Amino acid sequence: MGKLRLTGEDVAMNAISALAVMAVFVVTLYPVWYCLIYALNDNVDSIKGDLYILPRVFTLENFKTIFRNVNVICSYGVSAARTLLGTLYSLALMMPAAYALTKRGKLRFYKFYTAVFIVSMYFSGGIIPFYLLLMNMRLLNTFWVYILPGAVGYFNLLLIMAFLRELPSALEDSAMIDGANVFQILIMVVTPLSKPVIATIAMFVAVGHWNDWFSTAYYTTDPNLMTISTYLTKLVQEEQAKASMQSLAQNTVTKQMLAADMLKYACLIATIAPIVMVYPFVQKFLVQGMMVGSIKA
Amino acid sequence: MKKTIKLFLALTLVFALGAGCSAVTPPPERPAASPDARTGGAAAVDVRFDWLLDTSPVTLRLFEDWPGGVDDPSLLGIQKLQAATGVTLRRSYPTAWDGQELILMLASDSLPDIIVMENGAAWKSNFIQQARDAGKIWAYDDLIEQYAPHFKELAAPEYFEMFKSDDGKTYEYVNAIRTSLYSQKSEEYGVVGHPSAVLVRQDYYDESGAPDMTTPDGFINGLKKMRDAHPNLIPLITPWDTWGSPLGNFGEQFGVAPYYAADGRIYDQLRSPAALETVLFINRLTREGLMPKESIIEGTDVQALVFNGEVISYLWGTLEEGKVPDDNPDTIYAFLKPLNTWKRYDTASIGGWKSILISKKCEYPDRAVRLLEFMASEEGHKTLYWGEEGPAPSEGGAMADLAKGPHYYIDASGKPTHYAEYLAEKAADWDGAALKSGLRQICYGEDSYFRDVVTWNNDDPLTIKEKEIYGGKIEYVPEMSIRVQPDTPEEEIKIRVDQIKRDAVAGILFAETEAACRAAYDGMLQELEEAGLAALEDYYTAQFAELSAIYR
Repeated sequence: MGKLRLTGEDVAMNAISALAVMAVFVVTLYPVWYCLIYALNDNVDSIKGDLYILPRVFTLENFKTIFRNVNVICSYGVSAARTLLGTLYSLALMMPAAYALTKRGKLRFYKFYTAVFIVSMYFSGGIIPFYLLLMNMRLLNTFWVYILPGAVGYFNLLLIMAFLRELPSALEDSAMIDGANVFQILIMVVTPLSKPVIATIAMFVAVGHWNDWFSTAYYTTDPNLMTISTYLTKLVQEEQAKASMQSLAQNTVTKQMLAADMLKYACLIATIAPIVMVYPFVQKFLVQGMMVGSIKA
Repeated sequence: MKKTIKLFLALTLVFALGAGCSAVTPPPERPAASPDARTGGAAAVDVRFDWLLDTSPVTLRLFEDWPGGVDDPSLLGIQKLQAATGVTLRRSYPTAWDGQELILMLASDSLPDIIVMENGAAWKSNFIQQARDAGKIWAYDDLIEQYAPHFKELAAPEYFEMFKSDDGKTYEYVNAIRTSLYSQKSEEYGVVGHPSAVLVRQDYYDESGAPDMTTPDGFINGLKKMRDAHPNLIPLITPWDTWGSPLGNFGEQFGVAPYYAADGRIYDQLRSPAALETVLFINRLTREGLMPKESIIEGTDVQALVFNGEVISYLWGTLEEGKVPDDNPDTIYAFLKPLNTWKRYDTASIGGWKSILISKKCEYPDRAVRLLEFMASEEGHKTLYWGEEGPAPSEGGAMADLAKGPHYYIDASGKPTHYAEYLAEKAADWDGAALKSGLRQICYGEDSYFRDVVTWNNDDPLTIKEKEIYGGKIEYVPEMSIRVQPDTPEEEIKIRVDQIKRDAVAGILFAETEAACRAAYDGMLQELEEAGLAALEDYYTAQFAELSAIYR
């Protein structure tokens, strides 16, 4: 097979595309790289600034500060558990719910369900009623406060519904003719064909769980339930508070006080690294799944 | 089959809708206290110290709204408190400084025993008002009368007079305020604290012939000379958070008082001629290029530039003297003599670090108020701030060990004074010294005088220099400790007034001509007038009269 000959226009277009992709790559990656440089540089030296490409005085001290405390492992565990369990639970609810909502003619009270979902997507009772609800449900200060509330998001549901509507109905019909019931169709026909959308939604939900500091901050007080993002936020605050005590008391600032602020870069890296590592494993599904957002639900 | 499908789909949806509903383990409950546990030791106690009436072990839950703290029962400070009062403090902190958790605790009727808020927190007044109206917090007057009658003898009167609510009772104890005792004693011992000051690079200052910078013209000319010699550096830099009004931290340089008193009335300070003079001076600095727009930046950035030696001078406090820029280890930043017109007016509104409330959920309100009494008293400061007493250095006394002490001695004038070794350890590693000694770890009852008196040292060169320059220029005016009550029309006006002042800063300071600066200033005053400043000033005048009746 002969090699395809590129015209001048093709070469130019390829070059422009490559440059554009490179630009996006740099713009996306550099902020993370910038944090990494500061995280790996000596804190007192970092005060001088002008760190752009590589650390000037290499150190792992910031990461040692983070991992010195054994609680950090527990917090990673809590974050991992809530991410895994929360994602599975969300998917377990959303897949059948989305499937049901695609059966407009067959589902009794379809409009009612849709209305309830839409209202909940646009309006909320506010933080105080929600807090009181959680309190009355005895969810405060339990692990389940991470999992149960907010397990179903209508936006995600819409994406799944959009994908399911694109599946050929003939597949379901033939399964039904073969004697499959609705559960079997959902589990054995629809779900395997929905891997891209499942991967996409799983990623959305998982990232939401991993990054969520709000639930830990306001709905739990037990240190054993602290997620990694909250733990690291508290660690940075603790270091800053120590430093600011002297500043407040004496109205003076030392280099050590300024250096305490630099810990935040290492914390940022420690927070995002685990979830970033998951992306490559679901990337092939994400590429297809991302497309569903462009289809009307 | 159809029915099965419908049933399944309906159940799935109902389950999905009710995703947030599930009951799990109930929240832990505090064990009820046995009345028998309250074993008073009244027979052997000093009756002046109410906290000694009952030192049986109890635990009090404290929530502090400032993030960054750690609840560590093994802290020496916590143990010292426990040994002295029998109270174990279990503390908790939020993740964000937004007051949200306090609101949630109030709404869900789950306030802790003691609530600590930053005095400057934007939500403080409203929270206190709501908690008071809902009957969720104690008035100190009631608790003191019933359980701690000596509290008012052991703490300065300002603590109970300055923060009265509109029902005449005090619901918040604001620590570390500037009291009359502080002013009287600091004058007696000849200390002036650490005033705000302009710090200048000594090498550049000397290089420019050490000009006299104690007049507005002298200051500008001196700074110009240094700027001309080092055009790449920023001549004068200030932290942005000092610019709540067009005066910034320059008001003291022209002796601007917290309020302007004239014709038997109290006016906003910006109406005073000294305030206008200050503003025109700052405007001259900006027009001469001595304070460009990049001069007003985040405090940490100011400090980073100072360490890098990238600024000629900066506005901060005298205690900053001695900072060495990285590019020249042989020089320091030293504070300049202020303008001849420098004067500072101290009020009880100065300071005020944390506001402490006792909730009605507290099972032991007697112990809570006595705990605060202990922390606020001299006895409490001996335990939590001063440490162990030892002989004076003239008698061979010195700090032997940071943990065991001794940490302070009584000087010839009878004043408690920390050993120089202790202060050096503290300055080198503030938090480390606190961890080892247990001192300055628990600060809730902090009193400005008891806190600072041990650090005053008349032999210290910086203290001597400060006294020489600022001595006799500080006046205590408690009658100007004016507070605007929350949820009042005056508070609404005050919020608008403060916003107008903040918004006007850039336009006034960076006006391109003096005439434009004056016009912008007049425009701001006009806006303040329209926002109801006159009504606010009526309020100031009435409160000034009340406070004058107490203090004058």
